[in-house]
Amino acid sequence: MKEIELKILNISVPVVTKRLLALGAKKKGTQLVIAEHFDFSDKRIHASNQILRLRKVGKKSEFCFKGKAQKSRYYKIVEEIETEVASLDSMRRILLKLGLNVRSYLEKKRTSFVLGNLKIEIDKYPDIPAYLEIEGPQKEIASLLPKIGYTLQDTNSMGADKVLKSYGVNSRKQIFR
Amino acid sequence: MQEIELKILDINVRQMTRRLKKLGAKQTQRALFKAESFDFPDRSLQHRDSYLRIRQEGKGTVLTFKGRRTKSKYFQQRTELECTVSDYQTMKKILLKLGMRLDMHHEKKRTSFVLGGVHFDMDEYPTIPPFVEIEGSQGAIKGVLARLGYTLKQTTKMTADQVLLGYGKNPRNQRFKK
Repeated sequence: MKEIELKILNISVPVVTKRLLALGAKKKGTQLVIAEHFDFSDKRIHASNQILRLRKVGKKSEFCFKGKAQKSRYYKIVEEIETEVASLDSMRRILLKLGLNVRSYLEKKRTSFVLGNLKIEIDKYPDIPAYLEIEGPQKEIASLLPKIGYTLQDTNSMGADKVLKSYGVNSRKQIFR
Repeated sequence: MQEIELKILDINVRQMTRRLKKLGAKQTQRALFKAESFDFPDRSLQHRDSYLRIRQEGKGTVLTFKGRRTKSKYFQQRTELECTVSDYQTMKKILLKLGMRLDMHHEKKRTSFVLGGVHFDMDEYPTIPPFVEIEGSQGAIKGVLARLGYTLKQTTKMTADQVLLGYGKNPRNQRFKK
């Protein structure tokens, strides 16, 4: 599946939440998301700008491979292959047996909204300000932006990894105290 | 988890079913199993006597890693790690994206029984006579063997691949005719 998304950094959570709800977005709740990224010892997954991720979202465990992002001016467009797994721990043990290592451990709080075909998320990592992630068809993303007070110029197509780096915080370890 | 098991080859499924039921064993499933195993291009899993497989077990899908076999005269003993996954094809795609290659494709009909902590899986492959795999603790396996009228000498610790090879069949490809 193709995933198309962009981010708006450093948002005011109450303001954006109010605007989204006023537009009729449905709030789906806030969950703790714990993600571990894996790589081989030669770091070839990271070197080819791909991601192998095992993630706990609330009670669900997801296993996901993300390909290299396609070129696009404003959007991050990546191939995403994802399946749910019954147990995070068993899956992690299998990955370690295959010679994969844990590359990063990232915790965040995610508040999710749905509006039309858009999945809208407010992500809060421990060490950086909250940001907004909007995923869905490009046209719908573009038409939502002005309604919540932004233009494409205010957005970026960085991955979480790069966002963390841009703030100069540890991009491989984010833990709530 | 440590898996301990052995096999009795060339069984009669109906007869074995009758004997198991007589001993009070409970049937837990009869389903078509489809498995594919994967390895890296350098065959690093095979070189470590390990393998990784995805298996469709009736309606469920399970990803399994099996580690190196430990020495034992009669039993096949190895680490087994399993994880249920929601979608077979998606898991397969991810493994291929990681650079793994498809190593084999197996289909079989499996009928399973459980008796006092011992699991019996009667496996019917397309090209060889059925066999039963008995899994549990060594003591429990020995106990049920005697009750079934078998001795350890009549069993084997071969893997399914080795059994197929023993019959001169292709261990890389076992499919039922459509």
